[in-house]
Amino acid sequence: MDAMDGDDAERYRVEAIAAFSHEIRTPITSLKMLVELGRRHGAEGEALFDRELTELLVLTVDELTRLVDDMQQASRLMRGMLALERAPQRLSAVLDNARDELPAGIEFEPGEFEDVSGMWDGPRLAAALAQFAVAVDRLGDGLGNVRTRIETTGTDVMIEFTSGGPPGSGQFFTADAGYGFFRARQLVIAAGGSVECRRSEGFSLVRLMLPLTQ
Amino acid sequence: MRILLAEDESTISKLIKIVLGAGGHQVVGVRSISEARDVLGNGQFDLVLLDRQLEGGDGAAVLQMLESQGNGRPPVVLMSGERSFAHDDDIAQRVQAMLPKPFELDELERLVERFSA
Repeated sequence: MDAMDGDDAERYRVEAIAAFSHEIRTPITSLKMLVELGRRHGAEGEALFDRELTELLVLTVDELTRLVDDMQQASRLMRGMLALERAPQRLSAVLDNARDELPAGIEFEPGEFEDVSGMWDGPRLAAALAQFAVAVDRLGDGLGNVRTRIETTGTDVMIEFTSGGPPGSGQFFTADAGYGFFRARQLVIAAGGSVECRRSEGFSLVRLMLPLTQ
Repeated sequence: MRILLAEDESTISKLIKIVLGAGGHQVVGVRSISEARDVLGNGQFDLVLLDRQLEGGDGAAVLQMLESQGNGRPPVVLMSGERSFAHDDDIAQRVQAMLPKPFELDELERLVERFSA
């Protein structure tokens, strides 16, 4: 099992609360507006929700459900109750899967790199890399073209995502990057890796180190 | 009124447009800093509803664009009462009103009415 302990667990618990409470405001805001619109329509003798509002209601509830599921999974991860399913994975395959998970309008191109293998939970790692790319773009220039740099040592692989410029060295806060970023970072830490983040006006960087074996 | 809505969450943006549209206001929505820059360069607005988090960065960048317009700039309502951990700044003092999320529809409508008077 890959549990976090001690100071790391406490720090990530605090960040989880901050990230989750920040993220949940959005669907709650939508729900409040939808409920009020439904109430007004009902008071006027109309159907509570037309098709458009019904679709928005479904999307919002789905989003809330996803957030709660993510939070539960994050909690299990931190308590070592969610085992990472490690298996030999080629880095190129993980990167390809990560790129498949990117939303429309965001892409990263790894360029030339040594295609190493690691003992990783491939699907979760791919999802995490996609989240890092999305967060970097959001906090960088928002143009969708995330720069990628990959280097390997004998024991680790470094994957760096950057967006925008010029490079800066300001602090990067999870609450700004979103809950997906927080979840992705937790996963990398639980897998024995590390994540470094930097941000300044129009620029952001996420650099992760992943062990090749553990 | 002609209202600029700078909000990257599509559901919230749609709902605000529905509500304010029903009140007779024209709402122009943007999701990103670059979109805001384009739209502000091509037209005037009577009110700006500004979210702190936008695609491509911090909503404070949009506020700076508006401040550069000088005395002709429209009033700004910041739709984010929570102070981000990353920002220890004076943005609350630079806007005309705050509308923390989650907000009531009535609150939004009252604020818009206040600035249309």
